[in-house]
Amino acid sequence: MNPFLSLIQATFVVALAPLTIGIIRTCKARFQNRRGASIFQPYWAFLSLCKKEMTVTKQSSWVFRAVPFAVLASALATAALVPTVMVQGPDGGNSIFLIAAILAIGSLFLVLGGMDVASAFGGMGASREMTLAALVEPSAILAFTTLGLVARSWNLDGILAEFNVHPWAAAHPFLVFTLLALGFVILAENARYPVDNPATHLELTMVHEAMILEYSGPYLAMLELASAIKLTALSVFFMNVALSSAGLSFISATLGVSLVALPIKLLAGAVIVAFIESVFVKMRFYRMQEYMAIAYFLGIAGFILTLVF
Amino acid sequence: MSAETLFTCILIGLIGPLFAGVIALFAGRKTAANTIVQSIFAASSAIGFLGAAWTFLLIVRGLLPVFFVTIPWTSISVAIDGWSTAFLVLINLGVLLASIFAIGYLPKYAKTYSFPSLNVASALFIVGMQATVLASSVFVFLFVWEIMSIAAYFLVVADREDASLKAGFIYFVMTHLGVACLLAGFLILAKGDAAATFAVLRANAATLPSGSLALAFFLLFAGFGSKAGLVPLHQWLPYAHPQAPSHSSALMSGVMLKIAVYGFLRVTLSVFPAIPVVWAVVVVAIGLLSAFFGVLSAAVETDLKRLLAWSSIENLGLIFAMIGMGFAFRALGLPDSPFFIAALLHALNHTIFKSGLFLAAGAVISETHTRDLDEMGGLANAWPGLSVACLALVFAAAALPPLGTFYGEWVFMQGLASNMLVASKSVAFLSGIVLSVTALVGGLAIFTFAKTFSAIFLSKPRTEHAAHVKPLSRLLVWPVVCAALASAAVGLFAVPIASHVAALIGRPFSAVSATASLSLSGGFILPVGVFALFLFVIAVAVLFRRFFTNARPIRVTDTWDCGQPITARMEYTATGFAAPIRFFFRAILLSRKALITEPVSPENPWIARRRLEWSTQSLWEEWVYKPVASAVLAIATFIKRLQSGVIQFYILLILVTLVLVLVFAV
Repeated sequence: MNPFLSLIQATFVVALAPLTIGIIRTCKARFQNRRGASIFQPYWAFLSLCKKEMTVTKQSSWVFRAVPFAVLASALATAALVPTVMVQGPDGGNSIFLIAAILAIGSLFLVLGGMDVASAFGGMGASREMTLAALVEPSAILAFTTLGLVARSWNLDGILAEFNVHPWAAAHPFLVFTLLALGFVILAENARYPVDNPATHLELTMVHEAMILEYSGPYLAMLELASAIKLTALSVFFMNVALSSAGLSFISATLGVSLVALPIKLLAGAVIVAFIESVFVKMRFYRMQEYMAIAYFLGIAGFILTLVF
Repeated sequence: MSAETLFTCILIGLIGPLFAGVIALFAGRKTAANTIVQSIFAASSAIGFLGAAWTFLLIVRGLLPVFFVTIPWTSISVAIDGWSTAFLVLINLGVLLASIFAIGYLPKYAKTYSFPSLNVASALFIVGMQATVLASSVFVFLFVWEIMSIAAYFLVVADREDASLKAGFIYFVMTHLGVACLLAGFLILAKGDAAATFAVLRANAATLPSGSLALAFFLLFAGFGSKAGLVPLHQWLPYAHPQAPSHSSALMSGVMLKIAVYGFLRVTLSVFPAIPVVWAVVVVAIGLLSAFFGVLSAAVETDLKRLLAWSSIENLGLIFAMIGMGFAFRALGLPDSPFFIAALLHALNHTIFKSGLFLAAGAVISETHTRDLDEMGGLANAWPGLSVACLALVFAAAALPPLGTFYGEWVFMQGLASNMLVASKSVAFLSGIVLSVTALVGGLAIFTFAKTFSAIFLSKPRTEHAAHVKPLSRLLVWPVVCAALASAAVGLFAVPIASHVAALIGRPFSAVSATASLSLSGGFILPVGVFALFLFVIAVAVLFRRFFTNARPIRVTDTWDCGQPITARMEYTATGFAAPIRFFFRAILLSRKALITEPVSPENPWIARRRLEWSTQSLWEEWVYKPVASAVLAIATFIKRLQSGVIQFYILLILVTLVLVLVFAV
């Protein structure tokens, strides 16, 4: 794949990432009959975090300081590899297994950061995050593999390129199960409802927030940006797969159309996430095996039915 | 270099340890003696490594024929081909790292271990492993296999503690069950002639009835599988490997298990005419089961060295699953070479990272004086170098890019996916199941090593020993660093390595080495590109921090803990970290948790002492081993009734036996 085009794509995703968070928050506020802050609020929050003084706990080691860089780097790699703005043809180097591993690297470093601060909050969040990341893996691989099987390519670019040419709704209707499984995976990977509540600081319910509790200033900005990038890239990818069922993903090698389509897809993804967060309750952590089992069986259903029909 | 020079190098690698063993026998218990012996191990393995690696390259490129050498003054002939040199590379690599480490490591335990006996056992162990991959006849193979196994027993019991003796006993029994299976399997193939060479075995196998072939196959699978630690014959491994001194554990886990892989590949690829699908599926099922149980047990284990031993079971399970899928697809006439390539890549990677991790564990344990992860912590500040190397090895052990292990697993998973395009629907479905089980195993491996790394290196030290560790000597750190670098090198050079291995499998060398990427139908990956991408995104993150954020000095504070002073009692332990896994898999781990309330005074039930008890048990021990053991004991009690003490009765028994033997013999 062309590194220059990937760079452009990553730039757009990074630039729009705080907007996704802003839209989700505003939508959630509207669902709750509140006005909510401006959708651009996360940009200001990000900039002020960048300017703030930073504290680092003395109960930590070099790992704590390395974590924001590693997590942001893994999010940037995700933004470069996941096709959100353009599809570069089937010979891209973004193998589904590579994407899964890069997401896992991000989780691994967050977990190390949470464990390094010697508080029970960090440890609890780390333990939970790592469990979720481990258990979501089979569903993720199965869902991606099924998409690849239909598209005859296990590179994300190849998958979308094929779906662009041959919309899958008519030929493979059962892929909708796989799409659902993918949705479950993306919600779990991004610490959203019903797996985690991104708006809480209550020690019994938080997962992602618990791990980054000790980070402040620029490091916190990097971690927040990383999670926004990840959410944006994966939700736009989800929308691309979903819309390409009817050939409406408008993602191609020509930048113009894709660039118009990108904010729309981003808006749609954010509204869906906000809708889910407003109508579902967060599940107890110790019921997560049910969530993971549902995701896996949806994945299996999509896989078998696609294989058979 | 000529074939003679290369062979001499390989021979030095083989004979050097023997020579060192003789010195060890007479040199006494001095530290200097140990240094000399370990240096000879290291030097000879370095020479052997170079010789074997060079020979391997020449052989797979077709520049050097496979050659047979008859050892002078004996009739024993030795075969040096691509397979034996490939595994010699692994052995010598492991020995090199372990013996450099042992120079600095063993003197710390001068009171625990007797250097002469330990080093003689090590020498025989190393020679046994090397000779096993060189043997080309049944008798020689089993003989040197036995030398390796018995020497390993003496490594397990080296500290002569009760736990070691118990572990050694379990190992001794299990390994000899394994040898018995191997002997039976080989004798069926050799038609009773123990001196038969592998070439004769192949000729025999072509004529044997399918029933005997199946029996021989499964006996050999059980024999090699018990050595590799596959379930249900894995029970010895988590007992035995941790008890040996750490540099020996590195050899046993990192290298000896690969000898089992070698043996299995050697007989299945070069002796059996074809492996039917059903046999291959059994191998895959056992392999995946081992991988799953291994990683699940590792995820909840808190003894550092046992955890690494469990992880070896996981990795060997994966290797056997890869080999099994290779045979299954070969029998179905589908592309099979990716799976063998994946198995060999994974064997190489596992040798490197598991040796490195065991050596790191040895270094950590030598200072913290405990194997319990719950009593470590905070070591990243004391040993930054070791912690960076260990973090890299964690990446390798969790199969994350850009380290080598990822590419081995990538070839396997992408191979499964690619074959779905050409396979029948049922085969594609099974491939999908294998793929998702592998993904689950991979996810739990990440969990395991995140837990291990954080319990050892992060947060505050949990004990006095951990709080006051001394700086480590370079001899202890550098072997671990070298293992991490080797792992990274395998990642960077994954394509050339894979293409050489592909040549070993029988694909033409030139067809695979043409591009810079690993490619299978429908998927490819560019290892160098992944490296470049990682460097680039890290650089972007660093530049962002440097130029776009506030660079004012960082204020150092305490961790916020609701206003209380923070102590090590508040942080998560390895036990606590694994609690969700213990809960979600409680049915498989036989995990029990109980809150026990004991009233302090009989009058007032509210004043009570409460404690939490929890345990996990081995499913196999409870459901397989104990029933078998009690059945054996019951049968033994029943047969004991023959012991009447009347001598005429015994003579009658001898007569009956003699008659029966004569009847069957004629």
